[in-house]
Amino acid sequence: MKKTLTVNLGGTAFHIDEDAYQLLDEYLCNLKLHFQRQQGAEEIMDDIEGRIAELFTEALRDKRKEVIAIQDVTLVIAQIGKPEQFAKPDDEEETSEYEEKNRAHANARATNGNGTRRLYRNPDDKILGGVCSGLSASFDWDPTLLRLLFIFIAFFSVGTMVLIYLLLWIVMPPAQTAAEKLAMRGESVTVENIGRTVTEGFQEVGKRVNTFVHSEQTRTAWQRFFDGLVAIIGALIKVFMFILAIVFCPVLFVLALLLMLFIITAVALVFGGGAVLVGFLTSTIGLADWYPEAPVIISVAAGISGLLMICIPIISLIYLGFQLVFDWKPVNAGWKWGWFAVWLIATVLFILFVIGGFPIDYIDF
Amino acid sequence: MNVDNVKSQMRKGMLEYCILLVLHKRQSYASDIMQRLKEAQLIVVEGTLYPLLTRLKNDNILSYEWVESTQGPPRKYYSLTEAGEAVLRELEVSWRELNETVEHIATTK
Repeated sequence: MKKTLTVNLGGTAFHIDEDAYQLLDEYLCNLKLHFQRQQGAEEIMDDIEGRIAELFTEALRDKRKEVIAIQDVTLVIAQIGKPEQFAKPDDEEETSEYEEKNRAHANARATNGNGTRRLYRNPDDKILGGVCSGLSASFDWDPTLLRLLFIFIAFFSVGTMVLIYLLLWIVMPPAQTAAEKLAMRGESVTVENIGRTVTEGFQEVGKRVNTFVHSEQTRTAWQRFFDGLVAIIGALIKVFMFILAIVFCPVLFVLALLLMLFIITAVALVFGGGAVLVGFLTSTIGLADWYPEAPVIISVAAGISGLLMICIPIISLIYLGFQLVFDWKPVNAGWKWGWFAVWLIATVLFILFVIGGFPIDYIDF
Repeated sequence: MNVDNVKSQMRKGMLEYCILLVLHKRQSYASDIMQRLKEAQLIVVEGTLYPLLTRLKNDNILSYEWVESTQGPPRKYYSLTEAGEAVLRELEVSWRELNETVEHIATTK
């Protein structure tokens, strides 16, 4: 059973398998990328889309089917051709200039100088975060070998390797665009190369459903054995992390609850100034002992700001960890800066209140 | 000397002339043109043809009209414009000259 989509190609609607759709979509994007510098690019694309629609109609009629499968798309691509098969436009000068610009631009983004590799996580072949895969792509190593090495060291380094792995996971960006994937492998970024990645990339989409590890070379039995071993260990680590997350969830929950509790007490204090709450806060934080002469309101404010100062980084760190492991949506920038501002204010207040003692001396309550 | 490169350069130079020849006094749609050019091994993949047709159309050498098709969507049928016919005559002359020149060089040693 396969999921199908409906697409509009040159004014005709087609039912198309999901994998076939992906292939076609990337192919068309690829062509668009190729033609974008030429005059009348849109018209060319329209013509090609129309032609594809025609070929699809023929294929459906000949085979008496209703849905376009990936083989149909592959045939169409073979007939119309990949950009690297097209003859170069006559205006060679313009082309090379464009490519130079393109390369310079891509270099600025992806590589530092010609052919220099950059470290990226490889999202196309990953066990956990694609760190090992990215590293081995950069240095032309076998990913399985590197993974085994990582696992081996992790066993004997008492967690240091785990930390290093997590650090790399955070530091290395994922190679998302074709240009970045090329930079990861140290290939120069040209339109043709980008086209190749895209065409290679979508062929992998279909393969990946069945095979976990893919590579251009055929793997020997031993290599496949280790691939399997790595996959199993990877799955175990994932399960372990999942359990860890379940264990940590209550902790996170309690922390959030505490934070909310203090916010509520602060609000209550502003309106009512309940003596019980004040007593609770001052005794828990212990500020009353440091500054016995400090007004109650100052101790409470210091307590709240101190708590915010400590809790915000801890909670955000925990959240960051979860986000990386479980692909949670990243927090939007507004919230991030908002919390940062709150933290900054809290920190400044805390320092003023407690360490500087500034308001106590200069503000008359 | 890269023989393949020279050959492809030769073919590339011929391509536009051949498209005009195919379209001379005869309307054709892209796949027909494609078929003729493929038979002559001037083009391997269809993707090469579409940008060329669009450029020739923008240069006012070709024009097209939509023709209903019995099978599937309407098709663009291309034909030569007045200017296109003139360009074709010009190209025919220069092709003949070129041919003669090559013959001449080849036969006189």
